[in-house]
Amino acid sequence: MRAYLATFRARFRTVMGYRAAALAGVFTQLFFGFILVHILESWYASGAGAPIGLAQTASYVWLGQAFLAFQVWGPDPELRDLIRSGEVARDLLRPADLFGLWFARTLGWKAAGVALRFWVVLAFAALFLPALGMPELALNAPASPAGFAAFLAMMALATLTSAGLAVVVSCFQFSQVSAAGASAIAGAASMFFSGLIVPLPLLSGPVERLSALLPFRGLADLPFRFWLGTLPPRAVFSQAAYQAGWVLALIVGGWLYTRSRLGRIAVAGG
Amino acid sequence: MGPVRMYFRLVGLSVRSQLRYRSALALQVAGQFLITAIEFGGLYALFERFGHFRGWELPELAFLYGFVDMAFSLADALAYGFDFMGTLVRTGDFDRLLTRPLSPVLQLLGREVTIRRAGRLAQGLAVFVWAAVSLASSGTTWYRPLGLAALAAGFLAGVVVFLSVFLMQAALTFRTVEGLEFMNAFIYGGRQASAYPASGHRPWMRVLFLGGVPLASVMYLPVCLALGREAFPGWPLWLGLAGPFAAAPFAGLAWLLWKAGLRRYQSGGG
Repeated sequence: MRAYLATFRARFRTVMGYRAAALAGVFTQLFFGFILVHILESWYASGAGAPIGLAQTASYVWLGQAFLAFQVWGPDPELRDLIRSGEVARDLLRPADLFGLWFARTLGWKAAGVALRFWVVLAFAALFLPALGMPELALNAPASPAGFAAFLAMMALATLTSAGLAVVVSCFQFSQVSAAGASAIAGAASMFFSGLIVPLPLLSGPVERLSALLPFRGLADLPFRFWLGTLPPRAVFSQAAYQAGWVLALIVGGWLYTRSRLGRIAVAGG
Repeated sequence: MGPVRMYFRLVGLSVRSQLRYRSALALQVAGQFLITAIEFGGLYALFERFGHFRGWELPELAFLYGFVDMAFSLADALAYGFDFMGTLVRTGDFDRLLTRPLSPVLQLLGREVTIRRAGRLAQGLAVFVWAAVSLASSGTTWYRPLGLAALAAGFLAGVVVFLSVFLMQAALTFRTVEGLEFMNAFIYGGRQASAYPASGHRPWMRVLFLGGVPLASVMYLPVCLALGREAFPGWPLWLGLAGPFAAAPFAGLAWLLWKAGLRRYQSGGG
């Protein structure tokens, strides 16, 4: 266990070192988030009948930008390069489980990616936008203390889900030269089915029912609903259990797949 | 060998090298197609929910969206080589480009034309064609000579504006290799904002996208002319023919920035 914890900590600290790059990325997110909210405001001005109001939708979009780094865009770039260059063979020599090490590393990368950025987006959306005279597009406070607690619990699961999905995508590199294709497909699915393209409460019909089954929803939509209060705090137990099931499935599935593949890999390079 | 022929030879090499890994490429093209298809799915879902976007019906929205997306994807595929600028400048390998008898810009552009972005182009084209056909069958004569002229000029100008933003980003690499992601705000934010009718924009955003990064001037105004819609209350249609010219000063500025950067470039490597 200590080996995994050390791997997690090392990766977390490394990523936390890249503050300047992360802040430049955050600027993009603020601009992009603003444009998204702004477009949604126009939709709201065009027609009535949305199940949640503009204020809630705006909050939802800002939370989405704050926790954007949980989205599944592909493997940890460091891990990707290790696999491509063959240096990953060194991980095979370590007296610890390969998949466990990868998961710990990816978890550190994901957690740090969010830790670097989320507070800038939250501060901008909650404090700066109202000060600029656009309170209607701002992030609102959580609906209730209990809802906020549920939000935090679901966010912990979101971190695990995010790392689980990313590490499973990394495993595609066993059979493909690059995980770019798998990453692109996973990225599209996670953006849409977690509510980053269109807030899921605005969808209806089969697409919404499908999104409720998939694991991506736990990366954004589920925790956000507790923040907004569209899910009652007591629903956290059943939702967390479902999401934890997905986390377990991803980890066990990835571990089994890695084990079955390890017998067949050829290491490139020396 | 003329510079243009040389460029096309480089492009040919890049295309051939990408075709070596066919299954990976196929997955990537599919992934890109899916990402953009899902984005349009989002637009469709919002249309279903709200009924119209500030008076624009779905085919009209799709017409603008497809038009902007095609120009963006083409520019994005052509300009992928600029992505290498950071590494080239940091390692000093940019020197090698300077020793060859071909413009460094053409060498960069010829470095890689990404086929996988073709998936995105195909999606933009599909949306555009669907919109064009359904508009024509419902009596919107977007294909009159003036409309076609405006669309052709607007498409070219749109590609030029997107390429200019990429060139500016590359030019800034001469000053700093860190934190250039902030330019993505204008690239992806600009694409997102200009894919929707600018009539819904706040005043400062109108100024930004009509004058600053003139995406609305070069793409929204021509589409308005073709569809016979007022771009903003009281604006004459002929502006759709004038708008594309806004690309010229913007491209000029990008070129000057690039030249200034090139002049002060000092090799960083040995």
